[in-house]
Amino acid sequence: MKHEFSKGLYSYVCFTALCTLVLVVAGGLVTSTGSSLAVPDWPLSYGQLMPPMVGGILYEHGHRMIATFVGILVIGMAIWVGRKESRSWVRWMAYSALGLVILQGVLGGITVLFLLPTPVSVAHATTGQLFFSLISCTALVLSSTWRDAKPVDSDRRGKEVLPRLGLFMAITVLIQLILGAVIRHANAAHAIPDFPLVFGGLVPESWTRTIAIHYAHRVWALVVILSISLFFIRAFNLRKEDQTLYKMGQVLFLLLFLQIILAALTIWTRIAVIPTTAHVAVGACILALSIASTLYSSYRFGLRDRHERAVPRRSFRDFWALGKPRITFMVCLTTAIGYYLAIGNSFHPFHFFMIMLATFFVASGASTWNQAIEKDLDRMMERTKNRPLPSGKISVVEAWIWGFFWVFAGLLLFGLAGSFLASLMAFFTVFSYALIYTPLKRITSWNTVIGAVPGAMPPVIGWTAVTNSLSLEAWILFAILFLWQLPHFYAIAWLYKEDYARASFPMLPVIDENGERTVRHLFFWSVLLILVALFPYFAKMAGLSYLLGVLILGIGFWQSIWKLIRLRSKLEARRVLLASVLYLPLLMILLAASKISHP
Amino acid sequence: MDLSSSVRTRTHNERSRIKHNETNAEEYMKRFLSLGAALGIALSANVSMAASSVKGSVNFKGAKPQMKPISMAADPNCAKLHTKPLMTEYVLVNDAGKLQNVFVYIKTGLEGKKFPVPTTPVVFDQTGCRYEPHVFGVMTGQTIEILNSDSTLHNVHAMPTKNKEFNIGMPVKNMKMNRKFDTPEVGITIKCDVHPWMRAYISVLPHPFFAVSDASGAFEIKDLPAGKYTLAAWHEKMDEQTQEITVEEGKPLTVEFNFERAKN
Repeated sequence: MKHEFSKGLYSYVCFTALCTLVLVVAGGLVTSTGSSLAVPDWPLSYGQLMPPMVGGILYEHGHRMIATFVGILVIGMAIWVGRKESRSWVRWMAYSALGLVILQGVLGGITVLFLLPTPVSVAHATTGQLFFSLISCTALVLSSTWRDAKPVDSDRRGKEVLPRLGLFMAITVLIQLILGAVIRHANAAHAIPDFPLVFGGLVPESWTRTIAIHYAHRVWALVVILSISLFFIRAFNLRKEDQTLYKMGQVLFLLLFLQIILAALTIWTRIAVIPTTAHVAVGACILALSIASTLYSSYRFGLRDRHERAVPRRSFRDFWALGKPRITFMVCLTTAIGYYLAIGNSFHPFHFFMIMLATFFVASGASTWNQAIEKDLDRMMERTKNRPLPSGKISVVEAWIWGFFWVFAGLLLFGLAGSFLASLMAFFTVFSYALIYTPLKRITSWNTVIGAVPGAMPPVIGWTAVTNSLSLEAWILFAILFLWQLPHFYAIAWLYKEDYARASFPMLPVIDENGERTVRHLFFWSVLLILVALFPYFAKMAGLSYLLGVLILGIGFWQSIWKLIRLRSKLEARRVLLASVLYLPLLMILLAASKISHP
Repeated sequence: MDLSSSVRTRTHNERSRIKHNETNAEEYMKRFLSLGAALGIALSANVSMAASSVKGSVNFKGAKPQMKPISMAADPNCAKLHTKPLMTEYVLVNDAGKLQNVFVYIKTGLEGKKFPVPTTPVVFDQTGCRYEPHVFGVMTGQTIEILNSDSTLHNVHAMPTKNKEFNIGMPVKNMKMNRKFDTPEVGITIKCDVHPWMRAYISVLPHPFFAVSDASGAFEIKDLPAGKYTLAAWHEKMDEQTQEITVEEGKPLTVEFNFERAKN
């Protein structure tokens, strides 16, 4: 793991980090002075490379010029690090920085051209802070300090709490920065006029959206104070063993103190330009330093127990596999169907592509989180024990972070495509899948019904991505998909009863000895499905050919279900499964073929 | 009959011009149609509608607010256009306690009636790094000709809530740009992000019955058909006020509005 220390490269990256901080300050000034739209076009400024630097243009165009300069520096950094650095993860840091600076430039352009939509402005602000942190961390891992640091002995690795405190601190700081960015870009800075009290008390008496955001930032500050203090105390206790971490803790604590004073000044001066911008800049430094100290402390002490990450060889493919690309592809397909059904006469391929990409990202993130939660369960089953998490190639923390990036990027893409409602729907889907269904599926036999909710969301997402409204048609698509999954998954559970029992999943056919309850469920849901499948005709989504076709399909599907209800054998369960995988695609094809477009 | 023949001659002239300039064809057509509509309405108004005017003044109660000089140091191009500093114009009150820049308009009482949209645009100028006029009204669909008379660059950033927001750059002196608003909306803020002190307020109405109080606080709405209305007065810094009025044929009505600054 030893790397050769290059003074030139280290100085260059430090200079890049410094310029990035200047860039963050310049960006803060643009917002603080209200100059964000002083240049209405992008990437040129008033059609020129160099407009007169008067009034608000000084801030906005100045920010763009510094950003261009930083962009050039980062290209140089990526090339230099890529050629000189032996550690592949450090090379990846430099390449990611380049990707991030390009994304950041585009976000900046989008927010100008679309007149500062709050989510885009917040994303631009947050990405800027993360970018600064990434450059700072790159400087750290290239430093002589890092070279001279020695990881502790293997029997102590993962036993020290400091890296985990660092991670906790970095996450709380990041959340605080996002809240701060929302305050600035949703104009909530003036919402609470006094400090440290809130309207003369501790809790506001009346609530508006802006007061709530502003208040959340202040309350969360207490969590940040706690998390930084915990880190500092632990680093202080370890000061004999590691001076660097103690120094980092000291600086963090001082910055925290400074930040509180700046917060007070910001409120007392009624959001004057200088204290407000300084508050942003110090916030960026706190984030960068908290991430850097997490990185450094986990290098020294390890974040997890050593024996848990005994398998060192892993590749990008393992991370890719976390997203379950095949299932994700199916999710994209059902989203595409919802999308196709919603479009009238105009089709924008680029928008469609963005929505598909966004769906792919979000679904991959959801799968990743799902596996992070189910690692221990997956280890028990033959079918799943070689997945990247149970085999130890990827740690749970890494999976959570990786999943976070997937989901974040996906939701952002939905937003960039102008589909805020779809973004919300996707968020709801991930939330209900990873954080409600995944834990509950081990607890209750209603798991199939609960899981069918996120499972039915993709066509709704596709529909809302086009229409931006949750109209009747979206609900009908949801209902069909929801109801279809129940006979489908009951048939699977019936078929693989023993496997599920071994992994102690409380599937309905598993806990239901004689199949009585399963049969009742099957009857109820499939009748409902066959009826609801007729709705698209009555809602004028599809024509008469659909109605006739879906009736025939329904009768066929019903016959197989009726046999299972009567005979209750595995053979019949297999037939239901087969019928279900024919029923849905055929229904969708019918729906698409006899679609009635409403312009 | 005179009328129809004159119209016919006009169309003839118009047609010959269209040949020269195909792209303007639509514009001419619109003008022709609205001319006809205007004539028709003017005639019918004379016959069936009795009209009268509403005039009055706006008073400001309390101490006269002091406006402050604007620092134009950020853009020397602006500073050199003024020998003495430009003053802010949030609340303009004269020595007699009359309030300027109040937008007075018919808020209700004209529902369902259609009025021709004037073909002449309203000129909205950026001059001396200030908007002229500061408060004004247009009809829905009426062209606003935005003009930059300054030798510096401005961006014109309109921030409506019911209409479409826009932000356009006007870097060159004497540059012109046309814009329209399609939905009625009172008090749309227009600002310049290059020169943060620049603010103007535009109101869009589906009818022509509005006025802005002048330096003596006076306003007049002309040719208002007889009927019952809600008359509203809007000011950029104070809450809107309304009063119910009844307009009778041939009897000019005089009303007064009283504004008061609650705090600050």
